[in-house]
Amino acid sequence: MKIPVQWLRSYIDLPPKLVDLAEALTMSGTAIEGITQKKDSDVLHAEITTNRPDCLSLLGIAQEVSAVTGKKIKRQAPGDIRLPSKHRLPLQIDVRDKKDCPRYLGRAFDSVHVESSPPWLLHHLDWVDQKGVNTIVDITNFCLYETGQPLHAFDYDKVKGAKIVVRRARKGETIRAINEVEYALDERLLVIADAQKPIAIAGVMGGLDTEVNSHTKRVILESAQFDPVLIRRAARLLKLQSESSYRFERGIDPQGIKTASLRASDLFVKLAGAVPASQLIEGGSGTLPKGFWMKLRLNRLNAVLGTVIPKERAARILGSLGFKVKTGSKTELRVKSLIQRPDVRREIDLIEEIARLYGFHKIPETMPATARETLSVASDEKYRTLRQLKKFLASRGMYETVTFSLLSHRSLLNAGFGENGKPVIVKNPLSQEQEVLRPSGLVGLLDAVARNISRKEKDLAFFEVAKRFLKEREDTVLSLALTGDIQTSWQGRRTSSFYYLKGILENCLECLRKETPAWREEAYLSETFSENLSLFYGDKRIGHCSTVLPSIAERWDIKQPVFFAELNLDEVLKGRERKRTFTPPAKFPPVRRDIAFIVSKHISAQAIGEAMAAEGAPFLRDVCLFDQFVGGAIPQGKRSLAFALEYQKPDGTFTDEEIRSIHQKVSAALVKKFQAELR
Amino acid sequence: MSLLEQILRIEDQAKRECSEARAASDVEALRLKYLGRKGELAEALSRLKELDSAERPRTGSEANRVKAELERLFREKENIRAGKDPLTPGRISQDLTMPGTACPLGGLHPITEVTDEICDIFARMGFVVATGPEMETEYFNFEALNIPSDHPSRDTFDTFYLSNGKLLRSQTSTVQIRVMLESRPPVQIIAPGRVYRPDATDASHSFMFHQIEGLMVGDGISFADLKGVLLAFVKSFFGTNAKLRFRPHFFPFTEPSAEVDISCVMCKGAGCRVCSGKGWLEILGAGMVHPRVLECVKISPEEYTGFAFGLGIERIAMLRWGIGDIRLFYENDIRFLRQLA
Repeated sequence: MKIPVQWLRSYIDLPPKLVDLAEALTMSGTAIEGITQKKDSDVLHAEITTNRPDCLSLLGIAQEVSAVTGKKIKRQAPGDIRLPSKHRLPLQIDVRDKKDCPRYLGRAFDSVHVESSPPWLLHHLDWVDQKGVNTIVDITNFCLYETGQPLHAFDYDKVKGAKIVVRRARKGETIRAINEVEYALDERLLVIADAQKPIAIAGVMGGLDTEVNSHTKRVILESAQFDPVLIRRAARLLKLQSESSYRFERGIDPQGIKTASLRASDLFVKLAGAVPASQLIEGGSGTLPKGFWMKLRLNRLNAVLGTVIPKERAARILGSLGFKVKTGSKTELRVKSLIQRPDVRREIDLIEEIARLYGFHKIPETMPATARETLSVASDEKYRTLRQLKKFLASRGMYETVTFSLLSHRSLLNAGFGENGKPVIVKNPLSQEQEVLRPSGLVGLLDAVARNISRKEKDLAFFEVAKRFLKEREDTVLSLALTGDIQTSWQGRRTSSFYYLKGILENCLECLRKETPAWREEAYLSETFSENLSLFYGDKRIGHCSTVLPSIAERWDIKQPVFFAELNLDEVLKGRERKRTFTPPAKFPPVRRDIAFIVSKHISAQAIGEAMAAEGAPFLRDVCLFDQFVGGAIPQGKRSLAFALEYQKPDGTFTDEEIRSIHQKVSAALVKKFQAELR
Repeated sequence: MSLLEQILRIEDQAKRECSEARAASDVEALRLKYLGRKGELAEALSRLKELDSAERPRTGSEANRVKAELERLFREKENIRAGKDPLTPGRISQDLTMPGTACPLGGLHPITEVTDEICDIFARMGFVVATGPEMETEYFNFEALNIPSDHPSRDTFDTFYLSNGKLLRSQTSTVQIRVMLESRPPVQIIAPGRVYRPDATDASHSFMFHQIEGLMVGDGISFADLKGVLLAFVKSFFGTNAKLRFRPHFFPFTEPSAEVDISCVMCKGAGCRVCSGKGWLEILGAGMVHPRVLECVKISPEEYTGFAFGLGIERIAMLRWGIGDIRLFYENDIRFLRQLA
């Protein structure tokens, strides 16, 4: 809202320093964002919040200034219009729906001399960046800025049948507006029509056909109130905003409909030589909303604010805003509502009015007594657990990323996700990159990897804890991506691998102190991953560890192996705690025996380990794979594995014979079960 | 060729082959070849007894020397391959200024760092962390927050609508509602999370960003308490000289409402480019929870009052580190992440 200081001065005296006024307005709720200079006047640029449509006029601003500075408003009463007895122009107003248009005032004028406006008027309009058009149009604009009531003038002779009809448009009707654009209309839109066709988009913009120009001799002045919802919808549907629609959307003061009409009429007469040729003709219901009394409790005021504001002060503040205040009791005020302040309807609204004019800076700063019991602190625990997890991953050399939750559909297809598990679609994306919600953290991490590789950083270890979205729910997942070297030092190089990532996942589960899940090799999203190990709690897949198919990585221009894992943290956190119990360490050291053998490649290390553990129980307490060898002397299709076994008796030592016997048992089992060839 | 010459020949050959060895298995093979039970040196030593007693001691001791030398050489080579420090005379003695070789650290994302720090400050004041879903219903995102449909105040809270009938939350205030429905007062929570707005993306705006919401509802909570808590927060986060300014504003879910500015972190209020000469930076929105919002979650405003506040995490992070472009947070350029880890 532009507030030309010179214009404002015609309604109220202002403090000598403009910056002081700007500061006072800002600190009481009318934020002055900047001050510019126009010819002969500074202009304050105010940000008016949507709850204060009353401040969209200079008179409204004057009221605010009055409350802030204590100065009185110089009231101007619009002159009473004398109606010459002869020379009436017929004019009919027909409002079809009172809800769409609660009030409509129309008046006809004759002998209008339409020319360019006098300098003072052009000046005023220039201050608010409005171009002069002609006397009549300029006056309507002037009144809009002064009173906040949008007005419109029609060329009387172009209004067929001298009839104003306020109705819904019909499908098929069109109108060429004064911006010279043709609009298609339908029943969602309210129009002003004459006997034949729409002549204005109600509350938004007038039609070109009936606009007032230098040839106009007779004029109809419209001052009305329309349903804010209709006007807002029209502005959105037609993508057309105006100073009028902006005010109608937010709600105008119904009291101003008549006042503004009289003000404009007065100026028509004075500046354009117009002769009023009809009464003020009314359409719609014409009734103003009733005022009502609100109660303000002093102790409530001071309890909510934490202040000690006395009754007189509160009453004075409300009075300075134009409210009528009566004493209800020693501790209560009674305040009458104002039609032009629809935002003040209940006690809390009065409290806000008092607080902002009393001054937020005057309210003290106190510390509340802390609440003891809040939620079941589950959410807080989850936050802290995830925080630990992230710190652990960072200590492992990984960097946390924040990637977008929205993706383009194409990127999902590129990642091989295909049409199964249809993603949640965004109905109003601003760009292709916002089309769908991500069902996995993969794409975001591939984007991050690709971007870094293109900037010559090819050794990357990323993780992210964020949501993935399915139709019915969202899960918090941990996504990990590894590529390039994990570590390069002068002592050696370690390259990322599937197994390293698997190790990280194992570490995560340990870090979270949750039970170990079952690991199962399976085809999972095989269009995306070339190999995959999934984690299960029972039958529920809670995560996976995979290698991205080179053909998929290629689509991101990534030409090195990428390893990816995802863990459903919601599921993991629901899992059982891994029990930590204390057993005193055994008195005697364990006996270590190595065992190496050749076995078919198709037998899993897991199966072998489990078999040995079963066979060596209860004394075999650790089985550790320390070497794998293929090729060389090892036949095709087989591999050599070496395990370090540890045998322990809790309360004694083994004899050589005992060890030999257990170890023999274990070896025999391997031979029998897996056809292992011992080395 | 005498046995002695042969042994010396073996030594040369072994040394040459050792220097060419590439892998640990190569060294193993060499050891087997030269030092194994059936290896070359063993074979040569077995012929010692063919020598006469004059030559035998000298050849024998030479053979032993070669054996020890080759063993040492192989071990050293293996150590090199395994990456341990070679400690042999004639080579450079240890340079302790060489870089340490433990796995280098990674780091948390700056958004997480700032979030965690903020949560810690509020935790000390008794605020507990709460979270909520990002896919929300119309009810939680608008109605329950007293934001009417078909009204300009809706415009500030434009949202992404989804094919499953839900929307992506445009502010973390939705969590306020969920918490109050789940828990009777007193309530004291802080709720960080992602929010989404269909705004054009530029250097200071992103369609996806992070907010933190705070809520405290109880008996006798006042606006003065809100001021006190927020002042304590900014002093903790920005330094003890930080000042706050509360400006009356409007939010549909609070009354009275305020926008809260902090004295500019760059110029301390003198006026600079960062604060556009104002001396103040807007960082928070806050206010007393609107009675209608309380009524909606079946809390009586006569019994309880509360305050709520929200801040944008990216904005705070950008102020702290002097980051000029919000988009850097989502590019995940490792050079950016490394700097701020």
